[in-house]
Amino acid sequence: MEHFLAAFANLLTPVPFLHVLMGTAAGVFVGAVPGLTGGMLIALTLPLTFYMDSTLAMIMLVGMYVGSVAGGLISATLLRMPGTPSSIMTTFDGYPMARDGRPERALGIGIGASFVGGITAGVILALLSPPLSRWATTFGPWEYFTMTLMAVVLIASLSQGSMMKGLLSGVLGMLVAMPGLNPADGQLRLTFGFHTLDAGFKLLPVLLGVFVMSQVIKEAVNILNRPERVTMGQASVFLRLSEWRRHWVNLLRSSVIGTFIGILPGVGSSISSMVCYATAKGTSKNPEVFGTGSEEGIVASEAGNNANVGGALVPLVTMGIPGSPIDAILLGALILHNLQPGPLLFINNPDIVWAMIDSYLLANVLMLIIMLFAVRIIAKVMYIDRVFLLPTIFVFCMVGSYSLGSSFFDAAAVIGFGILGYCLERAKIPLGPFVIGFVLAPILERELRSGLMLSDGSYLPIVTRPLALIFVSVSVALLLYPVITEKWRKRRNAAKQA
Amino acid sequence: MEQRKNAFEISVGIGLIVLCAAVLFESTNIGPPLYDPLGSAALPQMASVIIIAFSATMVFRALRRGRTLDGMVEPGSSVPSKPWIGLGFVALCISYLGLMATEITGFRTATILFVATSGILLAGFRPKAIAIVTLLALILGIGGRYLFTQVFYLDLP
Repeated sequence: MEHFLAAFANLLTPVPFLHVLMGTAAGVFVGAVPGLTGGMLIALTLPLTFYMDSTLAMIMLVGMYVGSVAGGLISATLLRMPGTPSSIMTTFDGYPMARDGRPERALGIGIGASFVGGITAGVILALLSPPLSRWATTFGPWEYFTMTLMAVVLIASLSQGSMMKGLLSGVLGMLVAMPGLNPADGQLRLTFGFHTLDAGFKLLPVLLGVFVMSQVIKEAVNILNRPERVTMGQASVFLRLSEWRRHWVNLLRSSVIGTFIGILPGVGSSISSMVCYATAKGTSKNPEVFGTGSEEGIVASEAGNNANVGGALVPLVTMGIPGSPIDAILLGALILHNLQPGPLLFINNPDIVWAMIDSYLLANVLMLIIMLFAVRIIAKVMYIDRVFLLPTIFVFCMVGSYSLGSSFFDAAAVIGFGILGYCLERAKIPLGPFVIGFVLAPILERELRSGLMLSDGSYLPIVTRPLALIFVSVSVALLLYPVITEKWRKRRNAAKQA
Repeated sequence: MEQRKNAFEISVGIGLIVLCAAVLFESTNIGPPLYDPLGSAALPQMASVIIIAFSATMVFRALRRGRTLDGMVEPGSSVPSKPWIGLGFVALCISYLGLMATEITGFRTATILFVATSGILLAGFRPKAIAIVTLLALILGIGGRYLFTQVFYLDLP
C-alpha cells in the first residue's frame, strides 16, 4: 500500500503526469486510425525512450497500451473497421447502432465500458501482483522452464486459426532468437559465416519488422481500400448513471473475465473480447439482438478487451512472462532499459513496477476524459490518408533501428522481418506467437540449461517437481485437446450418419 | 480473377522447410557441449525439425485443398488489392536504405527522395496528394534530422 500510494503521488506530479497523458492521448489517436495498432506505436516509440528515465519511459508506454486498445472502439463503431484487432467484436454491434443513427450512444457505451473494464483490472492487478510475485520467487529453473513452455503453447493454441500454425509461428520466433553467440558456452551458432549475425537479431528490429513493417506493407497493398463511414451527429456521448444500471452485471462479469483471461500468459485482448461477447450473448435475455446493434454486445466487448490489458500486465510484472504480444514489447522495453524482468523485478525495482501499475489506473481515467471530450476530433483525425502515414512510419522505423548501434544491418532486418511477417500473415500464420517465442526463447534455454546442470543432465525433475508437472500437464492437455475434440466430432458425425 | 488461395501457404511452407534445412546443416558446425549437458546445437536442431514437420503438414493440407477462388479482394473490402504497389513500396524502402548505406546521400536527402517518391506511388498521381506529400517530404527530411539529432540525440546516417 505504501509503495502504491508513493508511486501514485509521484505520478500526479507534472512530468510523470504529462508522460502518461501524452502516452494515453497518442494511444487513443493511433488506436482509432485503422491500420495503425498499439503494438506499432509502442515499438516505434521504444527507440525514442533510450535516453529517457526508465520510469517515465515505462509509464508512457503503459499509457499508450491503454489508449490504443480503447481507441480502436471509435473506428470499429464509425467505420466498421477495428482500429485495433481487439475491437473486432465491437464492430458487430457498434457499427449497426451507428448506422441506425445512434453513433454517439454506441461510442458513449463503449467508452464507459472500457473505463470500467480498465479500472476493475487495475484493482485486480494491484491486489494480485505482490503475492503472485512473492510466490514466483520460489520457482526453480524447472518451474520457470515449464511455465515458459506453457506460455508458448497457450498462445499458440489460443491464437486465431489453427493451433498448428500458432505453434509453427512460436517455434519459428524461437529459432530466430538463436543465432549469434551463445552466452552459456561462448560458441557461435547459426551465423552462416556472417559476422553481422554474431550478436544475433536484436529485439527492436524484430519487433519493428513484425509489428510495424508487415502492417505497412499490408496497408500499401490495400491502399485503395476505403471503408464505409458514419458521421457523428450533435447528440452527446455522455450517458447518465441510471442508464448504466441495466448493464452492471454484464460490465462486472466482462471486466472480471477479461482480466483473468489477460492473466493467462500469451492470450491477447482479442480473445478476451470474444469470450466476453460470447458469454454476454449466452446469458442475455435477447441473444437475437446481438450483431444488429446490441448495447450489451458493445459493453461486453469493450469491458473485456480493456480489462485484458490490466490482466496481461500481471504475468509481465510478476514473472517476466508477456501476457500478450504488446506485453512482449513492454518486456523488451524493460530489457532495453537494463531492468531484469522476472519475479525479482518487484523486489529490486518496486518503484518502477508500482509506477507501471498506477500509471495503468491513471491512464484509464485519462482515457475516459480524452475520449469523452475529444471523440469528435479523433473521429475526424482517423480519416487521415494512409498515403502520408506509411512513408512517415517507415522513416521512423529506419531511424529507430539504425540508432540502436549505427548499423544498417538492423535497419535491413526491419524490412526482412516485415516481409516475413507479411508472408506469414498471408499464409494465415499468426504473428503474436512469433514475437512471444522470440522474447521467451532465451529465458526458456537459460532455465532448461540451469535445470539440466542442477540435475546432472536428467529431465526427471519435470515429473518429480509438482509445479513443473502441473505446467507440463497443462501444456500437453492444450496440445491434445483439439486433436481429441476433432476425433470425438468425427465419431459423433459418423454415428449420426449411421 | 482466379488464383490459388493457398499459394501463399504453399510457398511460405516450402520457404520455411528450405530455411530450416539450411539451419540443420549449419548446426552441424556447432561444437559439442562444453560446460553443460545441453550444448548449443540441441535447441536449434529441435526447433528446425518441429518447423519442418509443421510446414510439411501445412503444405500437404494446402495441396490437398487444391484450387480455390480468391478474387484478389481482401475480406470485408470491395476494392481489389494492389500487390505491385506493395512491391514498389518495399523496393523504395530498400533503395532508401541502400542510398544511405552506400553513402550516396545522407539522411536528409534520402528521406526527402523516399517520402516524395513513395508518396507519389501510394497516392496514384493525385495532384493534391502529391503536393502534400512533397511538403511532408521536406518537413520529414529537414525537420526530422533536427528532431532526431537535437531533441532525441539519436545517431543518423
